[in-house]
Amino acid sequence: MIQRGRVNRRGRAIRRGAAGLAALLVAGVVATACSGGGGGDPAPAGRPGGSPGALRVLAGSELRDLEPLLDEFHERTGIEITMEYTGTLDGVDRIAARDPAVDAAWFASDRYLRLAPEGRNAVIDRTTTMMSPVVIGVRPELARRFGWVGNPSVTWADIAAKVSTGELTYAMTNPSASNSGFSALVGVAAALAGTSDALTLDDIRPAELTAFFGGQVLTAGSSAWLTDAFATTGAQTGTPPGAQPGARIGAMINYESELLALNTGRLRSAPLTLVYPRDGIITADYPLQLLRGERRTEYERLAGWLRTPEVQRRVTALTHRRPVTPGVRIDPAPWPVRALPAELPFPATRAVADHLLSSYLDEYRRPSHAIFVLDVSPSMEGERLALLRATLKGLAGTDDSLSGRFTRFRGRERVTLITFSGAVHDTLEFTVDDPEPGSAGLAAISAAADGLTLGSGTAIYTAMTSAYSYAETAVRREPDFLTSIVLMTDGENNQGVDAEAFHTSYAGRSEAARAVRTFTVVFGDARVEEMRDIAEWTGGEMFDARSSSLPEAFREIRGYQ
Amino acid sequence: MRPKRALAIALAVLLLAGIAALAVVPRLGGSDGELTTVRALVGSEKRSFLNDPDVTAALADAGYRLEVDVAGSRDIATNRDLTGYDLVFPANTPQADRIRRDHGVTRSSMPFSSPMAIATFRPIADLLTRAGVVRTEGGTSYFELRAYLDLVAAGTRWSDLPGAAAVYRTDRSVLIGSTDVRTSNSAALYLALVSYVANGDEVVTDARTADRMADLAAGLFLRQGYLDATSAEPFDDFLSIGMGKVPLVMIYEAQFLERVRAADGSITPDMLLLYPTPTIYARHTVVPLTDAGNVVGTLLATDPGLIRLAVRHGFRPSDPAAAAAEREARASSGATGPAELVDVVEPPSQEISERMIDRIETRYEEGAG
Repeated sequence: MIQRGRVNRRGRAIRRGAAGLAALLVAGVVATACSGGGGGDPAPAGRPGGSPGALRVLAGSELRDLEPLLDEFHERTGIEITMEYTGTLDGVDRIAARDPAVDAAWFASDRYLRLAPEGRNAVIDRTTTMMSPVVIGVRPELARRFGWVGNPSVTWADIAAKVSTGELTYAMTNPSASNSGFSALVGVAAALAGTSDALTLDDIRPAELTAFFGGQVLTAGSSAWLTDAFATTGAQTGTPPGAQPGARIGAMINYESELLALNTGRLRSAPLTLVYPRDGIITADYPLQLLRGERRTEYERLAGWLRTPEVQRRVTALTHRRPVTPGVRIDPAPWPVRALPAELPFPATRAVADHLLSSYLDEYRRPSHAIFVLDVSPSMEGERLALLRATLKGLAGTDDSLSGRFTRFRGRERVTLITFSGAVHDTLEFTVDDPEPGSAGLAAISAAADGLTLGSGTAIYTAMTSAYSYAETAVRREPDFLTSIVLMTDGENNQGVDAEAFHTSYAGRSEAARAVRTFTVVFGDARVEEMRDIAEWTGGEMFDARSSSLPEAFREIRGYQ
Repeated sequence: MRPKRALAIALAVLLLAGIAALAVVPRLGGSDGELTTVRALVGSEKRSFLNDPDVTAALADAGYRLEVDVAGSRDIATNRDLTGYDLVFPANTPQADRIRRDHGVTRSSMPFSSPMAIATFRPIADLLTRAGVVRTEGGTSYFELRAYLDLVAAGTRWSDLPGAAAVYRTDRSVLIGSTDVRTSNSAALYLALVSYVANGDEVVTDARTADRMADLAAGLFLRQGYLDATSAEPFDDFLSIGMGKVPLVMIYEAQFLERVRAADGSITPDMLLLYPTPTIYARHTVVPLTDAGNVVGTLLATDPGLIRLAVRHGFRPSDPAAAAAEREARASSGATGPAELVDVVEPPSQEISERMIDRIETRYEEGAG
């Protein structure tokens, strides 16, 4: 499951302050080791790599699967790799701003980062470490019906055609939060444009893209979470026009590696058919990027080790990603194809990439309905309420960071604020017609944030029961919306109905209402068990704002809406 | 590196320190037995050479330890902060000249060169042979740039070529894969070649022609979409991803030969090197920024052991005796490209080259690409 904020390699969430302290301690140890000279210095003398140090790596969450290897690297070299996991755009923000807390970055791709000069210049060196193309895995019965099994001629247009008839729905990550979704967006836009070259603004075909992304019935902020949700329930959120209500999701667009892991694991009995569209794919190449020259030695040791044939073969076996070291070949199994189809061109400019992202959010994707259930109990008084207000206003346009721009409320989006303390206070509804800061919809949300007032008591389950009643009506009225709930509380339930009553009422709701997932935000003195239970019960996810921050937790949840 | 080897090097260095008077090249800085660290910013295509343990050992014998940072050669000349570096090693003389001018440096050395070549796969070469772009003569395959530019001008897609359906079924345009012309020297040399051919086999010398050639060539880069910043990256993709990503990639000959000579299995029998006609040489030039950098630059150009290692990494040495030996070795092996290339052109002046690149850069900034 997802852990928020700074997480060290062993999966323990650590607070920001603690992480800084830990880094200082590590630095101190290294400094001591260096100045120690001979004598009691435990480091092997004369090693050309220098004294063992540490490397703080800002990484995409999918790289968690390499942790066993990184532990082994630490044992062999004494160099400790501390991984801090974050989303793609947040990573770009921090690399471009030259965050002093990181020495290196390691994401699925750095193409977007390198489209901007400030991103390009922040990177001293890079080494690609492994590869995985973004492809589509289709349920076997559908693949057979469509004639796609063992068929190398399927194109993105063929897939789009099945989506437009309602025969095919799929899961895909949010392109503004995760590289697999972004790759798919860029690739599909290029393929459907029918151009033989890189996409220009004039080539983009909004109607075709809107039809294609209408089939996306599950979104997520991370590829791994998407895989998990697809494998466990496979339930679609909302119903696009023409599709069967309550049907299982028909396919998933994701890294080949994620799809292969499912096929050899949880979906072994009914493995997905991997389709590699003939007109092309976009491949992630996982570059390890050096950001601080002082850590070059550690970076080179790690990069060099990762690219040795022996480690490449183990990475391949462990993660199902493909090797990048020339001469290392993959065995046929479990890869359905050895040679990949043509690589689609990635846009040459940031303008095209940003246009695609904005248009996806405001225009191509199915509209979303975000229902926020917000605790305004007395404990929220003061700083906490101020932070909640600032967070909501950030989403309404005041946050101008790159990740802020793409996580704010978007065109066509419905936003509902349900405030509660000992009882439900208000249910405020907004529609955003224009995603530009200051637009009528966004200004109304900002004003509502300013107007939040406190009550007494904390009735979490009463509020959630009410939120699901509201959601049930909403999804009946607008079945094509991707509807989700965010629950934010800073305390434990002490009034109203209990968990069991909420479970009972939830179980009695329509299938469409039960498909509405709840993403919970642990804040202040909230009880982790309560929040985890609500997230798990509804197929959502828990985010801990104590280990990151309230705005960060909300921004991350935006990837799942 | 294994401790044993490190120990051996340390002993060698101590020994050397004892007989420092006999050393051919004087060492600067550092106390006895310690290596002087030399920080270098180099074009990516020389990274594996400079990081070769044998090169490290040879430099350690002379008292130096090289720390290598990598950037595109044009990036080095125009964009990077060179503070703290002892030497820079761009892939060509014009960039080196610019750095010398900007930093008031008079010294430089040119240890080796490498002509531009195109890495491809046999099925692709066969398609292009049928299309009249590739011809093979005396064991070397040549790539006719003029015929290629005609295909590009006609908007030819791979799927338009006779026989493509069986081997390379994609509707993408026939385009040579390159690096980003804004950062990388190999792309600038590709531009130099294209401008020469499109200008009726004349080096571009005036501004107006430069603008016209830049407009004509801009599509060769912009139409590819996102491009890597340094020469090593697209060749890496060629080796590891293969035909799907890059059916044709503009590289330095040395990048391919280095792999052939390493015999590490990365060059498979279906890969081959094409020599564009005309082609152009990249003259890899060291610009020292400190005295220590100057010693290392001189060593790279004059030390016989280091020259041999450069040849192992695919480069053509500048030293006349070593160059003659290298040509002879090529002529006898026959499998490592022609000993001498006849159809070779010179790049336009630095001013003209910069003018063309700046004009293409403007096209990127306009953003619609």
